[in-house]
Amino acid sequence: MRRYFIILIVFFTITSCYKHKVSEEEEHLNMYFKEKQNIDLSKLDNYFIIVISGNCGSCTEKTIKFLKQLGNKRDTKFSDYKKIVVIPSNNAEVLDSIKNSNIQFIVDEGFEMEKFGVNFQRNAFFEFKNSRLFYKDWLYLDNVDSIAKKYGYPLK
Amino acid sequence: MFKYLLFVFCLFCFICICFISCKNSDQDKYIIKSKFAEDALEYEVKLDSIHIPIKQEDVSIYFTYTQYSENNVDYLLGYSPTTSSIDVFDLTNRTVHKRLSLLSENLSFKNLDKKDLDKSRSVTDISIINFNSIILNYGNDRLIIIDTNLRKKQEISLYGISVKNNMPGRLISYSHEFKMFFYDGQLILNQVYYDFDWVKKVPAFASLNLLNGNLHFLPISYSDYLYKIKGSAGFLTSIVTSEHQKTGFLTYSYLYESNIYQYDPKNSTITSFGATPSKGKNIVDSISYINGDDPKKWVTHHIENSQFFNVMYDQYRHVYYRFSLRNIIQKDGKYFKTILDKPLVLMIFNEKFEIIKEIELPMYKYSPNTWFITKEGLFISPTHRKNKFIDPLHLRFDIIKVYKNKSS
Repeated sequence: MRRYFIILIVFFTITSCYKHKVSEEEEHLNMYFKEKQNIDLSKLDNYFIIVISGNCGSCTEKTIKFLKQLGNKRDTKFSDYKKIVVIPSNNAEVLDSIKNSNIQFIVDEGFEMEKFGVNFQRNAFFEFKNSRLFYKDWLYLDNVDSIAKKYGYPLK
Repeated sequence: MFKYLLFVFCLFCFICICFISCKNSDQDKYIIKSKFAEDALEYEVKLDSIHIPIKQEDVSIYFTYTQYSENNVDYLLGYSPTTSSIDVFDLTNRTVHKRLSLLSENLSFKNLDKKDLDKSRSVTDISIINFNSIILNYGNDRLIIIDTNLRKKQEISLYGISVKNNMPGRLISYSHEFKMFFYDGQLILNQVYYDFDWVKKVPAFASLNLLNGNLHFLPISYSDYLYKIKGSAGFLTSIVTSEHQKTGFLTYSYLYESNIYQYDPKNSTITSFGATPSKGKNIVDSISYINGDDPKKWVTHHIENSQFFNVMYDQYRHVYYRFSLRNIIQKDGKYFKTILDKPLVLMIFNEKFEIIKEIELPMYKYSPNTWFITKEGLFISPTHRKNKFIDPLHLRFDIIKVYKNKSS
């Protein structure tokens, strides 16, 4: 009995001390959204964040097609998810192609993302579940197909 | 025990000394220190500016451009990706001269990227013989020669040229790096290889005869330092050239080091000159990249190393100009600095590449790679991406005017 009690104490001590380790990328995203966009990500439950890079080939037709499907208002697959796309102003024309969606687009006007460490050479895709990073990948070349497929949006 | 600890300590110190001296040796081995001109104090610099009215939908900055003079009038020809056109400005009379739309079907420009991010669908470079022969490099795939009446005069496949000349690679040019330019009647382009081992030195400059498509390879390659680090200079590996050349010489440099090189075709010699700025790094650190590494590593490398731009000869004042971006530390407390935070430095040299002036330009004012020379002076566009005072209704340039004080 005493032995079980000690194990239980040790277990509770470990679990209470355990703190969700935040990756550097999450830390930078939190900082950018909190300080620059006044969005406290910790208060959101489920959400997607897609950071479009300002580099060559970053917004291909495939990427736009995927974003259109993800932000389709009639699609209920991820209706409990908030969808945010951050896009640098030199790539902001992409917005013209994606109208009438439930995606919140943030145009990074003064190239401020990098100041907060959010500087990806390729488009980055993040899924957060219960406020925790659940999945991330580069939304780039063939990865666009595999990410779209993973979320049930075949592009072909 | 004490002797053992002392031995370990001495060994550690020895390794540290070796490491530090090795670090310095690249600088000492590959970089030539600059000299100051004896008459440097006799030179003065003045700043002037011009503005040309444009429409709201026009661009107020050109990164792909060429400068041309005819009948004592200076022109700027710039590629506007948003309107898919070549915009011609009369700089002397401060007016828009002409807009050449590239959307016309007979010109063969298809699917141009309006954001100018996909360079394979963009005009990467412009050169000009006269208004009857404007050479446009279309995505490093073809050279399309047009006139101001939008007639296509000639179309040259760069791939076809490579095949014809048995070249184990292809020809490229970018307005902001290896800019194509005319030299001795031939068009100079950058020769890149499909298979590059960084062992054997190979030519990087090719001169193209536009009439017969023949290529001639100049004995100019990447510098010894890039071979030593096997090309691992991150984003900073390019050769940089300018269309502003001194007659009889070909002057070039590299993004990754401060030295300036001059090729003399008469005796096939290359002379290297020191052009070290007073602050910052003079040579880029090598950076390894293994598959799977975070690409951010290259960005950090780009920020924390200096970047040396092209060397331009001012035929009117007999001086050379070279801009550079000085290295900074990326981490700034809990924030990060970016390449936009790097100070822009202008160095002015006399014809012997002795320093006349070194000027640190105001932060967040000027955009790199927007400079060119006319008889009025050195033009630069005050359109830094963080400049909050960009006027969308005018094409603006500041003009840096160097002159020798005759009273001295």
